[in-house]
Amino acid sequence: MTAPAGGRRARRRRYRTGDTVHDDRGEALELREEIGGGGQGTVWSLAGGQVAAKILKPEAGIGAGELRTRLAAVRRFELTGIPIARPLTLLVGDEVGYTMELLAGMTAIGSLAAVPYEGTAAWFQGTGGLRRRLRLLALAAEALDRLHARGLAYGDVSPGNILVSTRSEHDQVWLIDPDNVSVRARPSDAAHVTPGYAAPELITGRAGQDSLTDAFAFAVLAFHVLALVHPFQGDAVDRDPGLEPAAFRGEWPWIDHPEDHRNSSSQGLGRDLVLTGGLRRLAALTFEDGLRRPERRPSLREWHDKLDQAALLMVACPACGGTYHAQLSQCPWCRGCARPSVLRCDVHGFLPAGAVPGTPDETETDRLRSMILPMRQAQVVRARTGLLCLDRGPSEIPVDPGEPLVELAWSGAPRLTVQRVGRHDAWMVDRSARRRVRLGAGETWPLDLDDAGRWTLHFGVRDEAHRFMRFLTPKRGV
Amino acid sequence: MPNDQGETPFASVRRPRPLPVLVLADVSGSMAEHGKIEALNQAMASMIGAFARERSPRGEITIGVLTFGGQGAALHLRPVPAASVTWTNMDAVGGPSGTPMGAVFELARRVLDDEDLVPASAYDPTLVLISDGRPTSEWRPQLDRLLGSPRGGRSLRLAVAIGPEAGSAAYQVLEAFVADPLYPVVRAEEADRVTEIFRYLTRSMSVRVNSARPDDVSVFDPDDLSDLSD
Repeated sequence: MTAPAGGRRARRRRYRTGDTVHDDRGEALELREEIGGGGQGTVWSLAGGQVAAKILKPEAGIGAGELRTRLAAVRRFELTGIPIARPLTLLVGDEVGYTMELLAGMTAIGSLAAVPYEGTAAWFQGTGGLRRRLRLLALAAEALDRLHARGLAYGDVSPGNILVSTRSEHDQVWLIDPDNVSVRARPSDAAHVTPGYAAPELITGRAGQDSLTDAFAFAVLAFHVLALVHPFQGDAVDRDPGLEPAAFRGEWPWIDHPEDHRNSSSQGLGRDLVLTGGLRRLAALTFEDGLRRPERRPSLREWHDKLDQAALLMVACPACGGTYHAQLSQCPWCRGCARPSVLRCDVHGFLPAGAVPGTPDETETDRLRSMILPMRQAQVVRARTGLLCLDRGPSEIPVDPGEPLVELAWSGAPRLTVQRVGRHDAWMVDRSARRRVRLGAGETWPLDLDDAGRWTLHFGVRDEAHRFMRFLTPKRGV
Repeated sequence: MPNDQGETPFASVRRPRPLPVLVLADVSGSMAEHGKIEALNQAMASMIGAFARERSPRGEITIGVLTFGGQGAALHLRPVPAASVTWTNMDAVGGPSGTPMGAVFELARRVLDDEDLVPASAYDPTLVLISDGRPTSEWRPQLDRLLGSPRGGRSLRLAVAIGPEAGSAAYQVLEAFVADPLYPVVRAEEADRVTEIFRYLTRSMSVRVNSARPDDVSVFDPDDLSDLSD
């Protein structure tokens, strides 16, 4: 039996629903429900909603002074546009802790990997299936990438620290526990890292939390949520829980190692089914080379890129509702239904003539993204896919990456419809005939598939570098 | 595609590692008095319901119940995932065996050693002993064997005394079972405190199953137990 750290134990009170704590604004806060807990303390929702309180345990070893300094630093960070709970006030009195923003109707992302006692298939599809898992992970990666882009590390990526919408028709992601956000890596107290998610160098205490340990933990989480098996819990480790700590320290190969099969696994969903080639490559890079060499790990930007792309390639089965990669000819979940017909929509970058010094003619980039438009399954093109520039500086309203631009729909008839649904400009352009038509707000443009090769759909500001979409129909007879 | 025709993609998806809880419940004749067995049954049912609602990728709480009373020791509920339990109330009846604690220690050891009941992949178990009196037959050798067994030795053990006061012989047996000065025996002088104690156990198991280290039994906070026994 492991004794709790520290010989002398500070006496502390137990909190119950209805208890009151106080913050440094003089507010009395009534505890409503314990919604989370971990090594460092417990998280309570408060009467009145929208706010949660995290109360740290004395043995977490964080004093009020240190927490105050840490949270003051976090509050100075520019976190606009990142879905993270901001610390609001500091608790005062006997408690060490703080209040933070809370969204209603959220649950831990780990619930998407918690295989239930029975009805695995119904649970998997009922919680949104493969496409929603890819989307939510992509959103989490996007949030973490935005933190990293500002020089900040999240610190403790774990199944309990990233919240997602409880209802499967909503796709919100919310990072909690902002007190671990930091600028510089500091060797951390080993008692408070999360084995199984923490990078090996954190568990062994050789390094502190930084964006590279975030990348490792996220890779574990993404693999677990998609494949429903932990990447280091192979058959050997599964049979003997005593081997788990060594496996989590990186002393065992990961379960899909191409040469070292000591920890291979007969469990989980088929990787070919749930991971695209790009995602399999990121996982292999993280868990092979990146296991000992943190700098080899793919960044959260790469994870976001591959996850977002994978989600855009999903098709829903008209029979069972399960979602799968459009390359398959039949639904792999129910196997009862052929894949519906699909159109392919490729996103490229467009540079007007002279937009870049040295390019006198207009030019376009290679394919940046592809999106699948299945028959009778409308798709929304969002800002993160269609707009080149989301932040145009302080004089413009910032763009949320999830803002809709257009909705694409295809009934199976020889025409598709493009409807502008957001505040952003969209243009139908026929470059051969030098025609350009601006879509008004809400306006619908019918596009004959026979003409689809001539027309492209452009987003954003006309005479600047921007992105556009090209529609591809399947070859005849396919 | 790794799956052949006929096998669904979910065929090789396994549930999380089991996190076993074994309750050793006293059902001797005296438990029939003062609503003790009713309170215990109610507390068990609501705890199992709460366990069943826990969702964590790290572990799945399984629960088994061993009874001991006038009719001897018996496996009242085979260890199974909490979500699959249909709870049947225990009956407290007197009989020739009295309070056969030794027999239930022996049964607990056999259950823990049986891989069909507690798979090798399980995390270290939690044993909870609930009693309102002192053993009526030999118990020490059986307890030593339980604590000497691989699973029994690594288990986290908690004990609830319904009635007996600290220092009494019955209380000392419970202390010997826990065998860890960090974890005091919890005393429920009133039967309805049993519910409160089980709520504490529920919350602790919930923290443990959601914790990064379900095997780290230190997430049970002994301070909480002292509060309960105040």
